[in-house]
Amino acid sequence: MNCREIEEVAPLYLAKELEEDRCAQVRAHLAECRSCAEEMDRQMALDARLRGAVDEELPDATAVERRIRGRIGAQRVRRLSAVAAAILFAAVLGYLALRPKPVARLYTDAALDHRQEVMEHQPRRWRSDPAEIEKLAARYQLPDAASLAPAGYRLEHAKMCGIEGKPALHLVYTNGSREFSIFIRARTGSETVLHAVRVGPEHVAEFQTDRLEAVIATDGSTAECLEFARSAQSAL
Amino acid sequence: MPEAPRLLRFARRLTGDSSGAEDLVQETLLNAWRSFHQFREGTSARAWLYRILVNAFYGQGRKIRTLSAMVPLESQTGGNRAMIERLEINQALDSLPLEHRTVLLLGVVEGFNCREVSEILSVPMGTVMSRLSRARRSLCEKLAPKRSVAAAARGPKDNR
Repeated sequence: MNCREIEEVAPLYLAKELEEDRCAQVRAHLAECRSCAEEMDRQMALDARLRGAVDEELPDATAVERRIRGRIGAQRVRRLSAVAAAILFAAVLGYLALRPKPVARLYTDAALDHRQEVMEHQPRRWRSDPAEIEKLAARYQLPDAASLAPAGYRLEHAKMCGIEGKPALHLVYTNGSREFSIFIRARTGSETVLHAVRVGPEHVAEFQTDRLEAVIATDGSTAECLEFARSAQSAL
Repeated sequence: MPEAPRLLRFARRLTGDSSGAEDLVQETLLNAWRSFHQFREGTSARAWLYRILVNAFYGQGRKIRTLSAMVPLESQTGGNRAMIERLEINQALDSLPLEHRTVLLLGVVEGFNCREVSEILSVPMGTVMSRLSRARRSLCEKLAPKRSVAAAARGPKDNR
C-alpha cells in the first residue's frame, strides 16, 4: 500500500472494519512510513478526544421517555379496543351468518300442508269440479287458476285452508308424477323478489303481486319449484 | 429505553435545541415502535434507530441551526482543564458543517462502522469514508488554533 491508499482506507482502519489481510498491509506501511504513522496516531487521538468530550454529557431522557410511554400506552389501549371491537364485530357477523335461520311459518305451513294433504292424501274436502274451483279462485280475483301451472301440468283440485293463521286458497297441480301446491292469499307483507327455500324434504317458493301473495310448495327440486313459481308469476 | 439518552444527545447535536431534539427522539421512538415489523433481524437495532432519527430529521425539513452559540462564552474562562478541553472540542464540532458533524457523531462518538453509517445516512460507503476523512481534518484544523487558548489556561508547563 502507498500513502494515498492508506489515507483512503484510514476510516475503515480506524473503525476496525478492514479485513485482516488489508489491516496487515496498513500496519506494514505504518511501520515503515513515519508521516502516515503520525497522521494515523493524530486521527486516533482526535477520535479519543472527541469521544471523551461528547461522552461527558449524556442528557437525561426520562422526560421524553415518559412522554413516549404515555403515547404508546394510549395507542395500545386504542389499538386493543379497536382490536376488541373488530373481534366482537366479526363474532356478531359470524353468528348472524351462521346461526340457523328460523324458517318463516308461512313456509313451514305451506310445506306441511303440501306434505300431509297432497302427498299423504289425508282426507280433506277437496274441490275437483272446475266450476267450484273457479268460484274459490274468484275470491282472489284469479282469472284462470288452471293457467298458473307450466305446460304439462293440470289443475287437480283445490280447497280453502289456513296458512300462517290466515285463509288461503290451496291449489294442487300435477303432471302425473309430480305435484305442486300453490297457496294464494291476500298480500300481507312487502314485495320480495322471487325466492325459494328448503323446508325439510319440500321446497317452497314465494312471490307477490301488487295484491296477492303466492307460495309454491313441492317435493321436487329447487329448480323445479322456481320454474313453477315463475310460470305462476307470469300468469298473475 | 436504554438508547434514549444517546439518541437525545445525537438529536441535540443535529437540531441544536433541546426541545426540538426531544420532539425528534419522541418521533423516532414512536416510529420505531410502530414500524418494528420492518426491522430486519440480524441487522443492528441501534443503527436502525439512528436511521429512523436521521430520516425524521431530514424528512421534516428541520432547520439546521448553527450550533456555535450552544456553549456559553463565559464558561471558557473558568473551570478546570478537562472542562476547557471539552468546551473546545464541542465548539469545534458544532461549527462543522452538518454532514461532517453527523459522520463524526455516528462514526466516532456512537461507534458505528462505516457500513452502518452509510446505512443510517443512506449514502454510499465511499462517501462516508471521504466525509469522515474531511471531517477529521476540519476538526483538527479548528482545534489547532484554539489549543493556544487551552494552552494558556493550562499554563506554560503544558505549552509544548
